[in-house]
Amino acid sequence: MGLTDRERILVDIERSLGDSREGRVQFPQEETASPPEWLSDDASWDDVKSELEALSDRFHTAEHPGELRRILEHIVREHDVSRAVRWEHPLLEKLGIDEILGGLGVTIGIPSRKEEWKELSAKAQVGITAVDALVMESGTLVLRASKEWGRSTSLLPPVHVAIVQPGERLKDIASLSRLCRSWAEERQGLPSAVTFITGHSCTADIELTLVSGVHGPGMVYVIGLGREYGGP
Amino acid sequence: MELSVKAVKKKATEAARNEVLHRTLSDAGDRFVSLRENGFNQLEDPDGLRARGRAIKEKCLANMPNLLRLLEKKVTDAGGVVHWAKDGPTARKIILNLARQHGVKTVVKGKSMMTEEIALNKALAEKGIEAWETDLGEFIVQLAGETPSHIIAPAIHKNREEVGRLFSAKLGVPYTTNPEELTMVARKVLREKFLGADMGITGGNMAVAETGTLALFENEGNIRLSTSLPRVHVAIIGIEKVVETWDDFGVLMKLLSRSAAGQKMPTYLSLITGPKKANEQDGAEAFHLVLLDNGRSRMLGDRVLRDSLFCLRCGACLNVCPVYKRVGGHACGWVYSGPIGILLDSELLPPGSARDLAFACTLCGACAEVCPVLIEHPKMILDFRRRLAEDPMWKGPRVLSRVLPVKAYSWLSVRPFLFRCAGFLARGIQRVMAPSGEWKWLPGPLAEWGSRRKIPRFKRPFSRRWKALKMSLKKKQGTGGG
Repeated sequence: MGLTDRERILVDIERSLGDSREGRVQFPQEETASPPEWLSDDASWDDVKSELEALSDRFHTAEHPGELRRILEHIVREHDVSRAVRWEHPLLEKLGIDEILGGLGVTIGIPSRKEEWKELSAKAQVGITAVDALVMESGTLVLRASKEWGRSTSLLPPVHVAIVQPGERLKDIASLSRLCRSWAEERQGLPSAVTFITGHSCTADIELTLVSGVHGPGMVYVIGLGREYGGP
Repeated sequence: MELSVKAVKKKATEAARNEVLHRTLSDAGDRFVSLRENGFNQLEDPDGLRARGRAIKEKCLANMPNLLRLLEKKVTDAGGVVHWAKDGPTARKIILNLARQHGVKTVVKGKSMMTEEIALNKALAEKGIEAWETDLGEFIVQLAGETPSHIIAPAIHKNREEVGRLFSAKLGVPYTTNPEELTMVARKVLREKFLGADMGITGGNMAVAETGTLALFENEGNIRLSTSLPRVHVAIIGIEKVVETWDDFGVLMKLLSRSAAGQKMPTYLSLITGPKKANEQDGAEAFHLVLLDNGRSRMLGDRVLRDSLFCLRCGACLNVCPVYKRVGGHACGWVYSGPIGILLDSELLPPGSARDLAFACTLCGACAEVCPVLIEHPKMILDFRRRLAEDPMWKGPRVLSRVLPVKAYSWLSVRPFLFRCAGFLARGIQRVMAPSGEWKWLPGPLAEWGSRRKIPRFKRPFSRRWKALKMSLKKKQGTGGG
């Protein structure tokens, strides 16, 4: 009986490596694995603000509930929002997002509670999520998939609003791969999707002219929670 | 797939005469180069990082069988299915079978050079499956019935007027040259396809063996949509894309995003580990990973050329290549173009079928200067040429045009009288047949050769010209002094 493609490929690789291994420079040992670097609650938000603004996205800090209301009201007016979707997340419930947006005449949908999550997210003008982490060096949002935290909430609506708690801040990009490894170790594997989001959907495929919102959101708002929420 | 040398030459000749293409490629190349420079300048030790990237690729290639086995185990543990394909036809068959098993009618595709390599779209169309390229550049070239001309900017060869006419003709929308309006047309058309698609097909930039995770880099969001909305996700990657650890991934991630477009991070980086879990809201219910060899295991055995398997597909070498900037990607005749394309096409296509590409290089070394994993393209291309020159199958047809003139010159140069006679004859012939410097009146197959060359005029020997030169110099000095 002949070899399967799997066996043939592995045999061919072994044979080729046998031919070429000799004389190759030895590679150095990798440094030992280190944990991701989280910032303390009192660290400043300045770095991430400048990173996001350089990407033409928006960063706001909400020091207290009144400020959060004002920021969301600004977003609703700016984008003429009548429908929004959000994650089924304890933070968003604690912040009273439904009450704030409901008071502004916005209908809120929670895709994780609906069979037709796809259509619900596709029709919304804003998707509101929490995050698992925010990287200060690059403004990267880290989102893990789960039952309550759908991938499409941050993807299908034209505007994405992400709310970040002070303790969710990572120092640098190097921490991202460490974070993935530590999650995998803690939970014996990763969820089906971990997504790093740095800025908004864009393309430059026509004469290198930058256009926003080609497939995903054309604008990302990041709201950092401040003093009354336990931040700096 | 075999390249027709004649067709490649024809495309290259046409491209070399296309001034609009030169301007577009040159402008785009300069933009990408400047973005890349900015990206690398922000790093503390860019050369150190590049060396580390190379060492990681070296390590992963040397340990490839174990890493592929580990990747297979981890993907399977996460609920995915791994398929192994020795070549393109096998990979196509696997994907077509999956489409049949899952009752797929519509496919959305993320940008993938691998699916171009195995000519998947044609195979899907033959089975009546509607396949939509969803990266904007890929969508444009698909509508135009063309192939991508750049690894990360597939429609770089098209200007806004051409895209406007194309969208108007194929999508029935009013003609516009506004990139924003054209992009929104594509968003609207493709959003419907995403929502209704049964299968998403993507490539993958890396696969992390320790957790069985596929990493996909992009800026548009089409890959996120292709992996999140359809019920089946099929990813196809070359076997060389496997890396061992998350630390390896971290280094290569930094290099790839900075080298491709000068970004600290791509807009979206999706890390896919199997299909959606029972307790997750959205994502594909079935995940299949196709590991494609297609000549890569053969390349691995080549001490010199195997380094092209380090390639991260960032496209930086294309952006600095003087030949690419002159003729673009289509002139290469196959999927990969530019310096890395010369190496990959020559190795991945059947032996000998892309051999002429090795001579479409000036050996200027700009590509090696910018490669994030320190691939030395010119050294490898030179070695490739040397092998060709030693290959009797290849040498034959080239004797007249390359070997014979060098031998003739060598013979004449040690016979001064005959050398002078030959020079006298050459000057006479040139005066008659190329009075303005261009060879216009050459016979037969030499006519095409001459039409693309402007060679310097043959001059009389220096010893004969010395007296006249001396007098002219004295005259000038006299004028200057007076």
